[in-house]
Amino acid sequence: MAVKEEIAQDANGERNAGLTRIYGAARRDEPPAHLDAAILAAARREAGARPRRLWAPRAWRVPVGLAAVVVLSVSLVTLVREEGGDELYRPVRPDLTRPAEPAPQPSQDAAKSSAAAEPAVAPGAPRVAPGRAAETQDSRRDAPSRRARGTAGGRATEALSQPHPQPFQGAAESPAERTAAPPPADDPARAGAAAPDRGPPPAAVMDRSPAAVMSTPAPEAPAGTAAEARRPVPPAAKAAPPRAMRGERDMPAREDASQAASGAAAAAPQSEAKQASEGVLSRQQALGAQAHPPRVAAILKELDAQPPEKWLERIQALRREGQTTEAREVLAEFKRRYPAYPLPAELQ
Amino acid sequence: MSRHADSSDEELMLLYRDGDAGAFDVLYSRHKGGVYRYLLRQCREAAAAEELFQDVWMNLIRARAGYTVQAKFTTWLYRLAHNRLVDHYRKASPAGLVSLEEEGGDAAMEVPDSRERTADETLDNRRQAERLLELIAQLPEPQREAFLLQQEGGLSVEEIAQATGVTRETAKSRLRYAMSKLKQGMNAWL
Repeated sequence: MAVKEEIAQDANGERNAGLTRIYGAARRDEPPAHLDAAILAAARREAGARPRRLWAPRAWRVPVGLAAVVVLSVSLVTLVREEGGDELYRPVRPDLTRPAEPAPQPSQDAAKSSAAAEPAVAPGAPRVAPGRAAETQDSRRDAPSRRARGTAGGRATEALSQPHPQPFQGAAESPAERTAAPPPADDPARAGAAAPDRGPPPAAVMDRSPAAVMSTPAPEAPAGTAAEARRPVPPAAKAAPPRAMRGERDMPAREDASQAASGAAAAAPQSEAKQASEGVLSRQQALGAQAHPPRVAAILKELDAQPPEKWLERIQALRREGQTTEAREVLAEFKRRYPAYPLPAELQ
Repeated sequence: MSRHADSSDEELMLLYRDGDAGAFDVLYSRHKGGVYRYLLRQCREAAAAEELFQDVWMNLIRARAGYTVQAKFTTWLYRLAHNRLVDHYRKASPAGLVSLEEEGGDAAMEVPDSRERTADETLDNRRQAERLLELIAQLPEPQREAFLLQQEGGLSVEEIAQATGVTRETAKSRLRYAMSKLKQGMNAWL
């Protein structure tokens, strides 16, 4: 308090220097030591909590935790959406059970080369490949999303259903490169299917890459050639063929695509002699195309673009002509192509 | 503690609010005696004074988070002490509260005439102090409080008014009455 103020207070009777002096001499009372210790300890405890400084790092835990939850949720939703995208392809498959549109005829060159290569084709190769080779190729294009799926089923599903907007490049690879790739360790069935001792695969086999096989539009189409394999493939054609067309009616309706792929791969060694060009199409279909004698093949080629009625007429004509074997082959092919088409009584 | 020696009470309290326990040590050492004596002179019982003293400082510690410099620190501190004292009076005896709140009371005080004392009663400073304390104890509580706040807390009339929640004129009147009585009682030595 300023001296001036004290003088004023003295004048006003609010302060007296003598009293202040005497009272100063009476200031001997102090709080006991134990009170000092208790109060100071309490003050340190409270200060030790240091709410603002110590809470700051803790305060970050909540936002960090929330951010982690959000990131995980977004990742999960993205994954689920991608898987859902695969599911969305499934309803499309039944559409393929409708009578196939006239398949584009392979070029003459392709037909020639495939005919030449047909006997030497190792059918196991394309069978093995759909999942793995397509994965190999696709992984180069969209590896992140592919890796995110991570399951064999997912890979097989993708291999069967993913569109391939770009031409398949695998045909350009060298045979050594193609054959050097070992089967994935996590898929012994496919590995076993891929194992048959085929020796150095011929060029035609190389061209029969999974993607090329998948892109082959018609069952009668000869084994894919490099030119054919390089053609851009419309997504619908690359979608997995209907189960009926694949001759897998005995499989459960909701069978996982990976099972289908691995099943096809496991059956490949037994059907090596019969399987041919239509890797993704059913092995039955492939068997039919491969096992047809030249006469039947010619008939099938002739009927390829014809409506079902023409097929039936031709089958009946063959029967009338006594060519029962050919008629039976063509009828079998007809059933494969048009499983829902009503047959006349004499053909049933 | 030395680094806080030159800091004002308000700065020290802000530092303590932000977690500096050393600042509180300085604050406490500066004001513990004044607060303790203020309480001791008011309630006149050492045990009660100690309890009130501890409560006052604990209230200050708890209230530190919301502390902002709105007034002099000592005004706030003695306001806490005053409030705690009022609570103590309310619990102890309603009459005490009335006594604390009544404005007058100066007429009831009978200051013993120092001239009645024997001549050989030469008092040294200590005895003067004891006499002053006796006189202080006989003051009406509002006047005593005003005097103690001035002497122990170093508060001005305005600050006494703030600490005790009365107008400046009331605080000034209390202080003047207290001074007048004490001077009358200590006349022989003043």
